[in-house]
Amino acid sequence: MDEDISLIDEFLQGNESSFNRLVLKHQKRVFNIIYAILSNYEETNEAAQDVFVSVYRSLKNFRKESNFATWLYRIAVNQARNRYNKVKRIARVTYSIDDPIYAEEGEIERSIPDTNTAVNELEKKELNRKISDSISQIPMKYKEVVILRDVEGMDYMEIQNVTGLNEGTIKSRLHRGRCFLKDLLKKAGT
Amino acid sequence: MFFEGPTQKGGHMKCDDIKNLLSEYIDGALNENDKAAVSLHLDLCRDCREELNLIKNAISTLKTIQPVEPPQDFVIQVRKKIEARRGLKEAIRFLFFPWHIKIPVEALATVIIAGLLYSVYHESMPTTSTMPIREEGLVTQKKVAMPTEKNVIPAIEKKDEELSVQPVTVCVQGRGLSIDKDFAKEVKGEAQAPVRQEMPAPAPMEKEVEEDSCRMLKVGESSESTDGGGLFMAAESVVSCQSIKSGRRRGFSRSAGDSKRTLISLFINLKNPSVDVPKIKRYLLSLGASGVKVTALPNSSKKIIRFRLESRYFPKLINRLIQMKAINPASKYSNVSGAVVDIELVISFA
Repeated sequence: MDEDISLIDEFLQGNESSFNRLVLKHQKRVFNIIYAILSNYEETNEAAQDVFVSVYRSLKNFRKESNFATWLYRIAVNQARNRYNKVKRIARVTYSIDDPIYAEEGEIERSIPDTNTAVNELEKKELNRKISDSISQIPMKYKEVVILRDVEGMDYMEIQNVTGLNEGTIKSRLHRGRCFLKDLLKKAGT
Repeated sequence: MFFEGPTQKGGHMKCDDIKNLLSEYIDGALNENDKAAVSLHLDLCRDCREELNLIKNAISTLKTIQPVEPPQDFVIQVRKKIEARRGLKEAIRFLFFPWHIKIPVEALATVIIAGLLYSVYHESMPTTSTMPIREEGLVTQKKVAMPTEKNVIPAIEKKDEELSVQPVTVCVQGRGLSIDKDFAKEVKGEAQAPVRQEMPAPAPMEKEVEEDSCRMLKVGESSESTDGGGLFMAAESVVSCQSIKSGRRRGFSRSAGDSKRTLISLFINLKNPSVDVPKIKRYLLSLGASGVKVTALPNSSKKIIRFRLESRYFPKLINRLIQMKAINPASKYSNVSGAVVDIELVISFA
């Protein structure tokens, strides 16, 4: 967090490259929060860019007592919500064959596998696809809470700050979202 | 469903209640009492234990999702977007700030430009010709050459308000005289008579002529429509053309269905009827004239060609007649108003 505040200070003094470093630091997490909600890479890319454009214009108003990451993720969740509501079909889109598949060792190539390792990768890919499919079917208001808690690992307080929801609502939506997911995964055979 | 086990003092918890607490139980967010109650229930209830395991499994599955990498040039894309929006913002700022100066100035400029465009458009629109009457020539519009004092006959107001037909206009060998209903109101009897250059003997109009609605007026005579069509007066011998075809109104030329049509009578001279009449007829057809009909006047060598012609071709017709030496080139012929005009050529043969 101290690093974030330093970068913000430098940026506000006119150092544009500090903003670039801020983006580089947080881009992946922002990207994945949005991707988990939208389930579409291109839409996620557009939304994530808009998040940082919004941050660029609003940084002068950021109160440094707050947590920058929480503030940033709030913008990201709002952006994802807006896009989701605008194009509701995105939530129904299943895993796209054009979406890049990343494992720890990097992107998985889409060539026909002919080794056991490749088969394992394919199985991973298939599992990923089923999970993404299931997540995309969870209603939006439950999904965002589930993503922030179970994918991003935020605690209830952080989720409160990001979503603006009270704790009781968060607990309730979290439970409902997990039950949804449980049933979907059961149906998908995972 | 109630779990099967010893009843706790204070009531046992239903399975539905337990299931609703499972998420918090997993997250460690329950208070001590609730946590103990749920634990006890789970020890005894297989269904709720199974539900717990399914939720835990779902959470674990979520954690296996592979993270997605943003594009390698993501920062560059963000930068480009920032620059694009900055350019737009600066353009808006340039156009509209400061508000209190730029908005009024731009609004005024818009109004001025709109006004200029409108006036240019308005100027370029064709207007109908309203040439004033002349002493000679064919005139169909609103002025009149008044006769001399002797011949002045006060005009009578037209009675028929519906009549909007253009005035009767006649041409007597290049001389024109027109009186219209509006002018009839204004006439006070002081206008000058047109200068007469020639005064051919007017041809009597026979009733047998198909559209015989003309009669000759003597100098000083006035003509009034019996059905209130209007009044006009003759300073010279003229042919008044009364209602045509419609059979409903007299006094002013009018064709059925066209309250704005003008009737024009032209007196022309031709040398060789057998050649010139067909020539004229062919020419009329080439101008798009309709209803061309040649009629011979009984007990006379004269003929009448009646037709309907678009006003814009009237000057061409005049020029052609001048070329054929059928009318006096020195005469002045005004343009006619209205889109279409009814014409009758009264042909005398030299």
